[in-house]
Amino acid sequence: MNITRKKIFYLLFVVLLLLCVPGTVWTEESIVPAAEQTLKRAVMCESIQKLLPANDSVVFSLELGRVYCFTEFDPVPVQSIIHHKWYRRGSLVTVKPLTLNPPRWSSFSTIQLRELDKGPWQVEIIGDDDKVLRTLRFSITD
Amino acid sequence: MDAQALSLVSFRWQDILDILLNSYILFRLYVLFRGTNVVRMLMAIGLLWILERMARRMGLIVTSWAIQGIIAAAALIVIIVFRNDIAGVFQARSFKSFFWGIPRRQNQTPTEIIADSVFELARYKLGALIVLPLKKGIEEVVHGGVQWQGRLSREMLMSIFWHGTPVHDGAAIIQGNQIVKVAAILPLSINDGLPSYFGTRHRAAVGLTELTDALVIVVSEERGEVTLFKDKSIIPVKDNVVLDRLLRQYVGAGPVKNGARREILELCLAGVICLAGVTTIWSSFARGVETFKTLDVPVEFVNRDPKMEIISASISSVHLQISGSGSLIRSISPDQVKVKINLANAEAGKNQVTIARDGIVLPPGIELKQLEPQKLEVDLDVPVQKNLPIQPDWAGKLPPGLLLQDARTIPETVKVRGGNQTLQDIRTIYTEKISLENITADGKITVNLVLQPSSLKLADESPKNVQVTFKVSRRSPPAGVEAK
Repeated sequence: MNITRKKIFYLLFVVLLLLCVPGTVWTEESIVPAAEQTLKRAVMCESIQKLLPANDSVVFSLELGRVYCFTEFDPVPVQSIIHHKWYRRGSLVTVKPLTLNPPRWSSFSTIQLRELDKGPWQVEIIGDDDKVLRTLRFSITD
Repeated sequence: MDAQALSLVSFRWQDILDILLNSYILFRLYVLFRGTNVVRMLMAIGLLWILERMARRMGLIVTSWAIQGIIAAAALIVIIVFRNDIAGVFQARSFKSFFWGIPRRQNQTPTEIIADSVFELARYKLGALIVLPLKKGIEEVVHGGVQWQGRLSREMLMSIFWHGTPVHDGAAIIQGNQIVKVAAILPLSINDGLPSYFGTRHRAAVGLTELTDALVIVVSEERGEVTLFKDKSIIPVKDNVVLDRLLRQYVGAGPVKNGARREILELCLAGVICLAGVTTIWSSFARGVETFKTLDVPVEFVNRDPKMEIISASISSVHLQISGSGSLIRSISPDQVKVKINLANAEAGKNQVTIARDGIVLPPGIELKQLEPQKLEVDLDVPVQKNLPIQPDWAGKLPPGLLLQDARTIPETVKVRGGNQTLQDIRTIYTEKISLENITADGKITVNLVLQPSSLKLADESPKNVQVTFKVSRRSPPAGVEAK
């Protein structure tokens, strides 16, 4: 009986010790490393419908008024910020920062079209580590 | 101070050197050619030139043209007709004698010995043929013979032409106080108008004088008569005194003292005339009414770092205003003027370079008054190659209801050569404009690439054109935009 009490006492002591160990140490030992943030899809499209790109294309008429760059990331391990860099004939026009949230996220940027915007365009999708993930090429026409 | 005096005061040392140098060249030409017909002909041409200038001043247009034509023809004639004189001058002299020294006339020829010997031969009726070459050479027309190289004496001549000697049948050639060749064969004249009593010796003498300026003495074997041949003259000589005088006249063996003084005077006069002539010509070219002219001269870039290329320059030519005498300005040709830009200190990128006056090359006597612009911008860069993606450049409008869903180029990239700095800013190479108007279905099209700026070049292995394949789809019905 005395032995049983002693065992229970030791067991409780071990449990208390485990509870006192810092959380970070616990996490490192127990959680599997997260997968890298991955660009699953990137398209230029005429519009966004129900959070999905509609009429993705490489040529957009000026009459549309707007053009969209849609990007889908899966997985997104941690909240991060990516950028859409819009170039007209190689010259930087605008940079759109977009926030990505775990576990996966779709986002888009858009520009309004003007008469002067006709010609070839590029959108560079820049990851949170400033690497170019993909370059989308399209044209704005009449 | 009048203009003429001013021009004399403003003489540069180069001008004096210019005149002296050319005067000396002219003087040397006179020294080399004096005594020949070339000098007389050149003097005639000089006189014609003066007449032509006068005719032009007086406004005699046709006369001026005619004299110009005669001068041109005369210059050609001098070369053709007097080719033997010219060749003789250049062949017979050492290299040094072209630039220095006065060639002596043959005044050492012992004419008295020749005259006495000839009449001694005539008295014995010993046929003889004696040649005294003067300015022109006779080597080309005289054949055969025996080299003699004997000092001239009365006995020697008598021995040569004595009956039965192996060398008596032919000509003896005398140069100075030497008999240089005997038994030489002379060209025979084919002139039908010669006297019937002329034998072979006489015909040979005429033949030689027709072709050269040599002096030939013939002693007739039959009649014992002495005849002197010079050019077209046939002079019967009665006694040795007359022959001696004639020989001195032609060979130039006058009294030594007087001859030397006369020669010095002649050369001094020639020198003065050469100096005056060249000064006059120089003045007419280099001095005179100041005339202005403007020229657009292409820029030449020199001393560029071989690793770098000139990508562009703000200008390709420089506007120069030059001045000089009317004759010099009129005769100037564009290739005589050069504008050289020194790029020794230029670096990669845009360089502002001052157009230095030192870099402008002008003919002598021409002065630079103004240049425009003073500076230029040169863009230099280190040539590199870069692989760049190709993007189709669409234009126009797709037929309604269609979408160009995808377009790819084959190849996808192209290798481009250009300046390092230029290529740093270039991310894409575009195709020429591709019209969307006629696209209704999937397809492909071959198009050219457009290289902007024009300093870019395709690498040798890169294709000049690319193929664009495209996919066409139907547009989904329009709907409202749902933004996030």
